[in-house]
Amino acid sequence: MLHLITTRLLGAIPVLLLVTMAIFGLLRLAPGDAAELLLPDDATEEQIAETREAWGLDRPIWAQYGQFIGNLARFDLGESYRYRAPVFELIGERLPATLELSFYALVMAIVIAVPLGMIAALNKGKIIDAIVSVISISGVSAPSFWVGILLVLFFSGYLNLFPSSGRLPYGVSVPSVTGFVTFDALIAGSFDTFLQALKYLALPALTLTLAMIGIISRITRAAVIDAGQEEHVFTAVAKGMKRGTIVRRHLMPNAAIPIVTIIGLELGALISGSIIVEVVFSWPGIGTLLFQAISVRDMPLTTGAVASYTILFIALNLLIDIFYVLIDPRLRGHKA
Amino acid sequence: MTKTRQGLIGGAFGALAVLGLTQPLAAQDDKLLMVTSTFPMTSPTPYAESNAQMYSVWCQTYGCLGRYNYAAKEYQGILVENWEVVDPTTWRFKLREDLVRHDGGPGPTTADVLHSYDRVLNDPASIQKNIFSEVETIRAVDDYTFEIVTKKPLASLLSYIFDRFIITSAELAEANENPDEDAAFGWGPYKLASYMLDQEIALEKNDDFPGISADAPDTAVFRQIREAEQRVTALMNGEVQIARLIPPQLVSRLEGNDAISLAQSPSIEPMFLAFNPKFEPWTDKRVRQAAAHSINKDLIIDRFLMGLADKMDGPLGEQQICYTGPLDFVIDYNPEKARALLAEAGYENGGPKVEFMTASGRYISDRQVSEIVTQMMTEVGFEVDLQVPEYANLTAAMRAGELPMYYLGRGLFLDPSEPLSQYLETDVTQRIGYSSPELDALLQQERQTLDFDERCKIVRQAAELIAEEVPMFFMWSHRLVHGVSKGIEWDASADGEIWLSDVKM
Repeated sequence: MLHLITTRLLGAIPVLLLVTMAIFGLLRLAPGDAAELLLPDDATEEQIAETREAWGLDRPIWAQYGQFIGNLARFDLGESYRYRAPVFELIGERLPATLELSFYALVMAIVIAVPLGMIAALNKGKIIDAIVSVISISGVSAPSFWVGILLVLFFSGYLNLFPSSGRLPYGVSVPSVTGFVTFDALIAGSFDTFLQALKYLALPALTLTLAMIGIISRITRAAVIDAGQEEHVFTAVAKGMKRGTIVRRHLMPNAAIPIVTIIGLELGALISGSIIVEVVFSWPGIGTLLFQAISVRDMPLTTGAVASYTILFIALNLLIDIFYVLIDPRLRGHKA
Repeated sequence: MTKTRQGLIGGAFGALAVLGLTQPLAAQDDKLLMVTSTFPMTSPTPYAESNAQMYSVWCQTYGCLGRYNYAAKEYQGILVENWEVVDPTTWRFKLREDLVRHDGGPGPTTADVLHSYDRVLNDPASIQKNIFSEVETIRAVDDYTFEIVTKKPLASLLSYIFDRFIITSAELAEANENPDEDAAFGWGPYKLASYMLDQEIALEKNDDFPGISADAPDTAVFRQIREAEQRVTALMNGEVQIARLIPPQLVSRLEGNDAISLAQSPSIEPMFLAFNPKFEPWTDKRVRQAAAHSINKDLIIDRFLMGLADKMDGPLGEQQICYTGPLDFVIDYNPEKARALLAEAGYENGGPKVEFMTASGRYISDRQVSEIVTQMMTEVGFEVDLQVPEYANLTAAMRAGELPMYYLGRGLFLDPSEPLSQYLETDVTQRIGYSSPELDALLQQERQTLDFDERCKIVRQAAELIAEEVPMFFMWSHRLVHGVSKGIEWDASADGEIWLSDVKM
């Protein structure tokens, strides 16, 4: 296990370097820079040049990148041009909001999609299987920004059940312990705030969930059907074992690996999808931060935010790998 | 869907109701005003952003010299009580002496003005140096009087600084390491209650501000909601009481809603087409005029913008300083004349090929308007290649003078002096690449003419020349439409900002 973790962490370093290098290069290739885009419309050319010099944007790209890497080695991502605050601090403040949104979206997706996939597999070829297929394809096909707006129009505008955007209502706050408002509310013993926070989470989380339900339920269905073709399952059926017991003891454990794999892969989609969803719902996470940063070529913040997403993605994949080992005895003792 | 069906669907969420999830979302405090905001909220430092919404917020909290009253069409003091032009390059301002700082400290003095001037120029977070581009220095005369000395005579000085020069306390800056977060006290009619990056800014009424109305909101919260659909929805379900900047296609969602009224006003952001004479075929005035003649502005406004725009015949509209009525030289919609002009310019056998750049989503229906313009120009013979780059790329290329033709807007166009110089005066910027000694002379002359009426005559001459030369073809200014909950009285102004003490609840 230790070997697996060490290998993965070492492997993350070149990935991180490549990603940050690519971001630097791409931002540099695009026309304009932060000084030009952040200064007001009527700023003079001299003022733009002065700002460019103050922010080091007049230096060659390799020098800027070298400084970025040097700072990164000291756990310093520099200062955002737009927010005039340390990037680490900004990301640290926003990360919990993104993680909380992703956490609820993932939990909802698993809770909904895995049973749906199993129901479809156990009713293969029947009408219920077709219904699940339609739900799955719709979920995969519909873009998040469009689904988000539809959900707002229906649940917020029409039914007035949930707020249209934001994280908490004005005047409601909770002492931060975990950074997850829902958890912190429970820790503080404020059930009202917990419910308020859930209301604000509902629509953005559901938007992300719907995008994941399709693929997870399809893979679950296929994995359960595959597992059902195994001889030991036929044996169990022949021995007259109860249907529920067969599903619990023989189908689910064997279908678990592909399901966990697809959930791991979907985490990437979840993280990237959260960028758009955060912007649509004014959710104060890293996605909103990244959106603000890219729009003005805020190099330190963009690179820092993308690096954070990369680290998050690598960490989640590592967790999935560890989970593999836990659920599949055959992998124990093997090197990664 | 009928109300019965709505009720049935709502009933499906009964479980949520049991959990208390369906409590009304509307604000509970009847003096709490929730307002949408579309601009970034990136720093509590009042010098770190440069957009109209944040200038307005800081002006109402810390305080600024004054503001432009669009109804009275005049500048009115906030921290200053009067001002005068001492000589062509010196303006003298007198601060009010009846103000108390939010923390009970003294009113604003010239020391605070000089401190703020220094912050605008030297604070590492400041991106507002542009407001003093034409200022040589600011000097104290006494504790309550200061003078602004300009590099050259500058008739439009107030448009640069009046509501954009935010005054902060020198004393609090001295006593606090981080005054913008730990001692954010000013002298304005509202106090800063809280600032949450990219989420909301809350302000509380300053009851000590002279003459503030009892009907004005006790608390106002500017909540960032970028998406127009969300702004409309938030207004309809009571999350906010004023939803700003409703695009034309969403206005119908609010019309007929008994709980909501619509407030609208003209704007000071003209939308225009730029024809860059550094590129062929725009070197030829006849081609520029032909393009202008091909565009049916009335049709676009009536059918596409749903009447929510005010047609412009030149750089100035009714809300802007020095507007003196319709121009004498007007390029109207005339496709026959457009074809004749193209033929005269040598394109009788097929129009010139042009590249046309536009934004998407930055201005109201910008891409769609540009598609219509493309079609109209094509009908008279142009071969138009419409391109829609990302906005940051578009503006960078525009500033570098790399765009032959584009459709954009120019905000904060209250006074024509600075925007016209920025786009059309030789070598001031590269944005259009137009050069005319005659126009340069007029623009320089109007800047130095301190007599208002005389100045406006010169501005009109410049506007006539621009209308005829058409390096910029002014299309319209969009009407600003805002949704307002019933029970709230607010007259929208042309800058779209909400001066809270004018709101009645």
